[in-house]
Amino acid sequence: MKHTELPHVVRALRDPLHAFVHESRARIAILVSRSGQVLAQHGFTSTYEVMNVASLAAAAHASSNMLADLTHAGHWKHLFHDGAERKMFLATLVTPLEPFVLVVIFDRQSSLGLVQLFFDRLSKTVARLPELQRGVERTDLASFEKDLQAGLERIFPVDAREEV
Amino acid sequence: MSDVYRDAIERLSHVPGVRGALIVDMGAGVPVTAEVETGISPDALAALAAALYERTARASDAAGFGALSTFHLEAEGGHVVMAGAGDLVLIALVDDDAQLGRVRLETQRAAETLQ
Amino acid sequence: MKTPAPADLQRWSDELARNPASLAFLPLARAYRRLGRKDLAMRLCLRGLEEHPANVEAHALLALLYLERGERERAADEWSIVLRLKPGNFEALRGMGFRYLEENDIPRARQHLERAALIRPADAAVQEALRLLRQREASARLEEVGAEPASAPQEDEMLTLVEEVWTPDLAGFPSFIDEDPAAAGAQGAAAAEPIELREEDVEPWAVAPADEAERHAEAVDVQAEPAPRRETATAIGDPGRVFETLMIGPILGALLLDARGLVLAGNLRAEGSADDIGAIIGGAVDEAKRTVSYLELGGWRGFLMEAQSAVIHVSPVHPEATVVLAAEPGAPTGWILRTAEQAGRLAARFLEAYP
Repeated sequence: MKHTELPHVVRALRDPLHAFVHESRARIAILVSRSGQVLAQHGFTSTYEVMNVASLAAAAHASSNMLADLTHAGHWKHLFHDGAERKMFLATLVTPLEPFVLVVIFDRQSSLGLVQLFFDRLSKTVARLPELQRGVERTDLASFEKDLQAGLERIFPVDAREEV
Repeated sequence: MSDVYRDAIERLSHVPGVRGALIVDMGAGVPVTAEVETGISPDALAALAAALYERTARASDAAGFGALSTFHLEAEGGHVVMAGAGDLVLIALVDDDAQLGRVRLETQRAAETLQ
Repeated sequence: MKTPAPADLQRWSDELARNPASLAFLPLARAYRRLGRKDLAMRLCLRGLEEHPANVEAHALLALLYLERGERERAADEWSIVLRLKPGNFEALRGMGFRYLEENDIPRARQHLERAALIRPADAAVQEALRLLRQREASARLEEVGAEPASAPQEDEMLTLVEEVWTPDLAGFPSFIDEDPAAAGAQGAAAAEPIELREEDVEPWAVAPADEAERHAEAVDVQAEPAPRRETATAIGDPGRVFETLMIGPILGALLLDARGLVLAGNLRAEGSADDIGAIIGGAVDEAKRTVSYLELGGWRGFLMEAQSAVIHVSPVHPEATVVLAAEPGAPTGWILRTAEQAGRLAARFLEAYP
């Protein structure tokens, strides 16, 4: 993912992630890049060291994928840690750009079933987001002018424009 | 898979009007075993219905009505009949015009066999 | 029908103005009905029932008033309440008997009419209905065995009887509604005096209007259909008693909740406070609606919880309101569901009166 694409991606994922947290009754959802960068977060995040959680979650995700390879399991759909008070759900959120890691922490207000159910819906929603479609040109004014100039130069080569 | 679970679901899914029968782990909200018609998602039904049962069980306790034993949700498009069995909940998704008395009875009986 | 004496009208009106909880509403309502002011009679009855929700005569009068307006279902509701309060009430037994006849529910019609006949064997309408029922049943039995029935009552013969009994002047429904010992006593003394309702008689409990124009407007207003009552301190009844008529047998009570889970009306014989229970059950309602929505089962119609110490039925009565009915464990489910329907109607009436 290009660096310039990041703000658009984060903006596009905000509403679906918010809906996911609301519907699944999770306490917190953190969207993490494969390198451990926090892309978005929703819910009661103040009690967590979100950056540390994101880094460790990305590492755990990478390790579990290695494990899947080594055991010829293909790929894991999700990782679930069942704690006494809190539970954690870790899964790959596949997008047309690149896969992200979704970390969900929930308690007895939710359940694994609910988190899975709404994660599936989130995945489908995200897959359809226009901002995440590869090949869609996202333009701002500066790039538009640049592209226009490039087009003019193709249509009217410098020599020809000088003649005109 | 335990015969008791399988038998309970078999029996319940054969009651006329029942479109899906599941045994669900209430805490996890995932099916232990299920028998549902085509087009019905057992995972979605398990997660949502179990969450509702669990939430209502807590409400019943908090309101001073004691432990919840059965729950019957009625909607325009059908009914969801549930009976608790410890950490499990038996769920039946039922047509609107089914013989509800029989469904409720069979759901309760099936839940009793699981306890 | 006997006509009311002006002195009695005055007396009842004064009494009601002094004490809105007085039972004087009943003879006054009867009097208004006799004078053709049926809308007023109905308003009096409804208001009186807020103070005296278990008054059999008031429910019976209300049933009659509904019948006269052609609202048979509401009349049947009132008769049902009468029968719950007084299972041997003749008018209610007869009324429900004819209602079941109209709905072609022959077993129930027969059950009610036979009980009515035991109480008043000489009632011609009941006897005629039973005769027709027996004829029909006999014909049905003959048909079953392949024999030719001698003569079977036609469907319309039954309905004609029902209509005759339920005609607007209700020739078939005299009885205690018109029996008023107090009126009978004064009747002889004031028989020749013309009856005139003064404006003060119309709504003795109303706040006096400020000026003549307002008084005139109110007098005109009285002619119209029953309007939502003014919110005077005396006009608002006790919302805690809205469902009092249902609290018999195993019924522990009922609550009307708004969309936020706050209690609007009703009462519950339970360990926790009504407000707490309302809030807790309100949460379960949200969860139920959510579940129905995600499972794509259409609109939710209600739910029934069977718990250790109660059976709770919850149902929507309005897009923004819910009725919670509680009963002792072991109460028959069908009966709870029917009582829940009753509670729904009472709640709807309350919401109409206090939007």
